[in-house]
Amino acid sequence: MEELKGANGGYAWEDEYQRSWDIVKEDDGGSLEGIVTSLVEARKKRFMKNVTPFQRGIIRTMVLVVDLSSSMQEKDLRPNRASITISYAIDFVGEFFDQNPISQLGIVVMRSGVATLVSDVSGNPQSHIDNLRALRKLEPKGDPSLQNALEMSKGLLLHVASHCTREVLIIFGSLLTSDPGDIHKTILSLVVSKIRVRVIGLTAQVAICAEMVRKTNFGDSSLYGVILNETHYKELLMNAVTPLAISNQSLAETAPGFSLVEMGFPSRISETASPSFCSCHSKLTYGGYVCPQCLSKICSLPTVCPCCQLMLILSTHLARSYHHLFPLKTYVEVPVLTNYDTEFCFGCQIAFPAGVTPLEAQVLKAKEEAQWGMKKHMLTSSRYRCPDCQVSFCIDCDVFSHDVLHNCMGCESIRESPSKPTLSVNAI
Amino acid sequence: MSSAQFKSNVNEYLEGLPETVHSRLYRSPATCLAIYRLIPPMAKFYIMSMVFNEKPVLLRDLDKWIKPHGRRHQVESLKRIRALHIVKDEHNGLVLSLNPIFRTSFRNALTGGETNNAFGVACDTEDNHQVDLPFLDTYAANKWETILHYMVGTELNELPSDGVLQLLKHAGLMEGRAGAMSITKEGFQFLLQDVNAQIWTLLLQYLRVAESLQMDPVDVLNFIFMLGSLELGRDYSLSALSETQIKMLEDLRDYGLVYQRKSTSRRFYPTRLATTLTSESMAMKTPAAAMKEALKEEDAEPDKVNILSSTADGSVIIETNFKLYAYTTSPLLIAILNLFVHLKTRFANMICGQLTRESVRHALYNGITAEQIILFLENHAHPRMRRLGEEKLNKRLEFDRNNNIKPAAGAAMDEYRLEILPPTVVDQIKLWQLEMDRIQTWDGYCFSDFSNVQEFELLNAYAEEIGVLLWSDKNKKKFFITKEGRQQVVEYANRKLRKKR
Amino acid sequence: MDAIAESVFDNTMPHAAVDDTPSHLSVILETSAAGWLAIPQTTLKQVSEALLVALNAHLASNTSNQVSVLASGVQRSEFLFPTPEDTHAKHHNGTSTLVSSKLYSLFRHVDEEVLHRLDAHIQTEGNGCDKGTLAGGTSMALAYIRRCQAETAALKARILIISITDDSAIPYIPVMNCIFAAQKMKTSIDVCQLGPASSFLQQAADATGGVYMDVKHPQGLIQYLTTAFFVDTSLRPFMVLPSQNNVDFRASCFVTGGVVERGYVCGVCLCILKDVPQRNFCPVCGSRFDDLVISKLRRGPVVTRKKKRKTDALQTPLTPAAEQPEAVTDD
Repeated sequence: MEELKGANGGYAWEDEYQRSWDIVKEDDGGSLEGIVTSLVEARKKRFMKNVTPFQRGIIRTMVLVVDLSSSMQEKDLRPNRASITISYAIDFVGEFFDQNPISQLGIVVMRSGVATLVSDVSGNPQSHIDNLRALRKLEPKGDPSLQNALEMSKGLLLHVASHCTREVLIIFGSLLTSDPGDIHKTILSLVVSKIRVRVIGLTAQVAICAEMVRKTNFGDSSLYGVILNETHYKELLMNAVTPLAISNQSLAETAPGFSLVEMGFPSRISETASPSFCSCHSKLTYGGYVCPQCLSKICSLPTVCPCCQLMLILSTHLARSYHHLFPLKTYVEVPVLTNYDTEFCFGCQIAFPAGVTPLEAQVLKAKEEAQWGMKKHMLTSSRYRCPDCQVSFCIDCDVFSHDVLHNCMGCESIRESPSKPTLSVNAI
Repeated sequence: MSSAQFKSNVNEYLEGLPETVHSRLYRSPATCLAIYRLIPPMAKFYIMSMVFNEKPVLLRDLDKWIKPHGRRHQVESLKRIRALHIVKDEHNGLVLSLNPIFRTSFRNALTGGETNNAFGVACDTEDNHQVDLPFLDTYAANKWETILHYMVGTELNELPSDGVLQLLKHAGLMEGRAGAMSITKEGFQFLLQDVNAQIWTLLLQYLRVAESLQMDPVDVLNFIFMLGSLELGRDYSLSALSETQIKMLEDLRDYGLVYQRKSTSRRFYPTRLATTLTSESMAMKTPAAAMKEALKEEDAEPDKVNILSSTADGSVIIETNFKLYAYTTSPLLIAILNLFVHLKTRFANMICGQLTRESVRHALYNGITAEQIILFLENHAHPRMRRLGEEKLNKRLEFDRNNNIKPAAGAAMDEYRLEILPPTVVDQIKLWQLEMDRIQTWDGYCFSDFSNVQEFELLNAYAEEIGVLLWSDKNKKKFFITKEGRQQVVEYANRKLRKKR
Repeated sequence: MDAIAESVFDNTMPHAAVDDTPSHLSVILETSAAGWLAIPQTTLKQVSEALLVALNAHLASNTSNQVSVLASGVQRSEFLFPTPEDTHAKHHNGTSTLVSSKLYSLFRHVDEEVLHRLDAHIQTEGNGCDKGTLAGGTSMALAYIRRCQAETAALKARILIISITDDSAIPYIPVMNCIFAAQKMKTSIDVCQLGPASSFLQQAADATGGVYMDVKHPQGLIQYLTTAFFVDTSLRPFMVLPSQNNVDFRASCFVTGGVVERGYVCGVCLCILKDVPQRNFCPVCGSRFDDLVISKLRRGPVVTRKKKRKTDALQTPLTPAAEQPEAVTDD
C-alpha cells in the first residue's frame, strides 16, 4: 500500500495539481533503471495476495449501484469522478463476465434522490456496456439515496434462485444519503434476504456504509474500501470480480448444505439449408443450440431457456471458473546467490542475469542506497520458482501464468514416472 | 511503404519478361524462393497448395476456398501469378496448373534436393585475411554513401568509379559528361527513397544495360536473387559462378553489395546491403525492445552513424509550427534535408531548420513531389513521433467508441489512419504543391456550332454518361471532350443524327 | 474552391487489406512412443520429415517469419527450437548427416537443430503415467509467443498441434486454461489429428478459430500441411476454412463418464453429475447438499386431479363425460 499513496503521501483529492512528469525521477547518472525495476517489483506484489482455495459462490447475481449525485462532479479523479467511474464500470463488466460466465449483472443509478434502473439483470455483457455508454450523457445531479437503491436491488434480487449468491456493489461518492425511511430496517431486511453488500467509497469513510457492510457480511468489514487514487480504485473494483468466499459463519446461518443446480448442456446444430426462428429473440438464424428439455432453439449461451426455464450452459463456461477453485500457487522468489543452477527461463527461454558474488552484491546495494535512497533493495535474482516443481521462471512468465494462463508450465510439462526404461530408437 | 515501392518496380520488370525467360529463371531454386516472397499473400497460399499436389486444380475449387469479400484479393493474386507464368490455364481456362519447372525447383528449395549451387557455395578453406561484420558494414556504408554524396554534390576525396557514373547517366539520375555531372529531377526523387528501393532502382537499370551488353539477363537475375539468400559474414567461393556472374562481381563491388579483397581473390563476402535485398520492410520494434537495445548500445560510438541503421530508427522531429529538428550527424542526411528544408543551426549532435514556402518550392521546382517529401519524413521520423501518433489514435478511437460516434457514412476505415506527422504540416506541403499547378491542361476536342439546342443536349448527356466530358457551356452551346472519347461521341452523333434525317 | 479537393489529397497509397506482417508458427509434436506404435501407416521419422518441409514453407513465405517447435512426450515437454544453447550446428557443414547441406542456410539451421534435439528427446523418453504433457507444451508455446509479441510489434501467431493420443491422456482443466489463454491472445490453434478423434482438441480448434482435421492418410501428410494448415493468420478472415460443424460440446459426467445432456452441477466444485447422488454428498468434493434442495430435485412430475365441474341440469351432454385421469406419482 505504501507505494500506492500519491505524491503527497495521502489521498488523491488532497493533491493540488498533479504533473505527470514529476512521477518519473531520474537518478544522478540520468538512467531510469531504478524506476523500471521498481515497476517490476510492484507488478509482482499484486500476486502476493491470498490464494488459499476457499469455497466460493460461483453462480452469482450482482447489482451494480452507481452514484450519480452532484458530488460526482468533483475533479479529483481525471477528468471527473463520474466519467472515470463509467469507464471503469465498463471494464468491470467485461472482466466480470469473463471470469464468471454463468453469472448475471444488473445496473442501478442513484441520482436526485431516486434510484433508476439502467440495465436489467441479464447475462449479456454487450447490453450492459451499451447502457453504461448511454449513461455518460446523464449529468450528475442531486443527492444520493442509499435506501432507495437498496430497496430496488432487493427487488431485483428477489427472484433469484437459492443456489446463486446475491450481491450488491455500491460505488459511493458522497458523504450523505437522503432516505425516505429508516435505512436500518432496510439493512435488516437485506440480512434476512441473504444479500451481501460491498461498497467502494470515493471520498471518505461513511459510518452507515461501514455498518451496512458489516451487518450483511457477518461482521467482516473488509469489503468496504475507500480509494486513495485512480490505481487503487481500479484495484478495488477488480477485487469484486473474484467470487466471494463463503465464510464459515454464513454456512452456519444459512441452510446446512450447499446446493445442487440442475442444468442443461445443449448440443449445437448447424442449418445451412434454411434458417429457423430462435426462441429467445424470434429472429431468423442459421444454426444455434437446442435445449435438451424442451427442444427449442437458442442462439447464444449461457442463458436461461425462455421456454422451460432450465439453465443452459456449455462445459467450457464452467471450465472458465475452475481456476478460482484451483488457483495457481504463487511463485517464490529465488534469493540472490553467487551461482544459480538455471540460466534460462523455462517458459520463454529468456536468459537470466548471472549470479553476483557477495562482494559485488554489497557494492550494488550501497550504490542503490546512495543514489535513490531506497530502503528496500532492488537487487533481485529475477528468478521465480514454483513451489511444487521447482522450475524457475522470469517475471514476465510469472505474471503471464497467474494472470492469463492459470497453469504452471513446469508442473504440466514434467511428470515423474514410476519406472524409466529407455526405448530403443529403432522401435519408432 | 517503401518496400511496396521496390516490390512494384521489380514486379513490373519481372512481369514484363517473356515466358521463355521465366522458364529459364525458374530453374534456379533461389530465384523461385525470391519470387515467391514477392507475390501477394493469397497467391502464396495458392502456390503452396499446388506444389505438392500433382494434379492441376479446377478454378471452381479455388473459388470455393475464398469468402465473398475476399474476391478482390483472389482476382488480384491470380492476375499476378499468371503474368509471372507460374501458373497456366488449361482446358479453356477451367483448370490451373503449376509450371512444372517452378514446381521442381521450389520443391528442391524446400526439401534440399538438387539445388545446383543456387544458394551459393561456402568456402571450405580458411580465409587468411578474414573480415568481420562491422568491417563489412562500414565498407558497404562508405561505398553507398560515396555514390549518394556524389549525387548531392558534396566535396569528396574519392569519386565513385566510372562504371557507376555510367550507370547513373543511363538511369537518368544524372546528366552531363564525366567530371561535370549534375543531378536531374529523377535523381532528386531517387535521393528521397530508402536504401532498399534505391538499390533496386540501380540494379534494374543495370539489368537493362546488361541486356545491351550481351550479358544474359537470366544469369544476372539469378545472381541477384542468390545474393539475397546468402548469409551475412560468411565467405563464398567463386567456383559456383558463371562468367557473367564473375563479371558482375566487379560492378557490384563498386556499389558496396559485395566485398572482395582484390579483384583476383577467389572468395567474396556479401554485405548487409546484399542480404537484405529480398527482405520486406524490417519488422518494427516495440518501444520496450528498442529501449533495451539502446541501453545495451550506450557504449557504441555515436559518430558512426551508419546509413544502414539510420533508416531503421529515424531521427527527425517536426513540430506543428513547421520547425524541424534532426538528431543526426550524417552529412548525407543533412545534405538531403537541405533540399527542402531551410536549415538554420547546426549543433554537435543535431541540426535545426524550418520548412518554409521558399524551401519547399525550391524542392518542387527541382521535380520532387509533395508525396516524396512526406514519405521521406515519415520514414525518418523519430520513434517518439510515431508513439505520439499512436497515442492520439488510441485516444480518438476510445473517445469515439465511448460516445458511440461512428465515422461519417461512406468514410472508409482510413478514417482511423495513423498520423505520424502533424496534419497541418502534411496538408500545407500539399497545398504548396498545388500552388505550382495552377493551370492544368488536357488535350481534346471542342464541339461547337450545333444546329439546335436538342442536339447539343443529347450529345452533352451522352458524353457525360460515358465519362469523357471535361467542360460544357449551355449558353454558348459548346463542350469539350477528351481525345480518347472523340471517336465514341462522333459515332453516336452519326447514329442519332442520321436517323433523324 | 471545389477544385482544391484534388486527387493530391486522396490517399494515393493503395493499401493492402491483407498485409504482409510477419507471422509466428509454433508446432507442438506429440512423441509418446505407444501412441506412434498404434498408428500403422506411418512412423515418427516420416512425419518429422513432412513437418520440416512445412516449417521451411512457412519460413519461405516471409523473411521475417519465425518458427518455434516443441516436443510433448509422456514424461516431459521441451523446446526443440529455438534453444538458447544454440549450438552452431550450421558450422558442422560436412559432418551433419541429418539434413542435406545443399539446403538454403536459413532452412538448414532450423531443420538441423530440430532433428538434433528431437533425437535427444526421444532417447531420454521413458514410460509415462496416464496424463500426457500436451497442456504443458501448449503453455510453453503460449509463453514464448507472448515474449515474441512483446519484442516485435504487430506479430501474428498461430499454433499447430500434431496429435496422436486420444482424450483420455489429456488433462482437462489445464488444456481448457490454455484454450482460454489462446483466445485472449487471439492465437488460433490448429489440430492435425493422426490418432483417434478427440473432442477436447475439437473444442480447442473451434474456440480459437483454428482448423481441426482427422488425417486418414498420414502418408500424404505433407499435402495436408501445405494446404489446410498453411493458411496464415492474416488470410483467415477471407478464407473458408474446413470446419467442424458438429463439435460435441456436451459434458461428460464426472462419476459415470457418460454423456450428459441434462445434469446437476455441484455449487462448490462445479462437477457435473448425471443423477442426484444417493446420499446427499457430492462425490468429488464431499460437501453436503441441502436436504430441501435435494428433495425438490428428486420429486418427479405430478399430474393433479382435476376438480369436477358442476354441469347445468338443463344441458344434456351430447358426449359421455370424459374419464378423470388417474393421478400418477413417481417415486
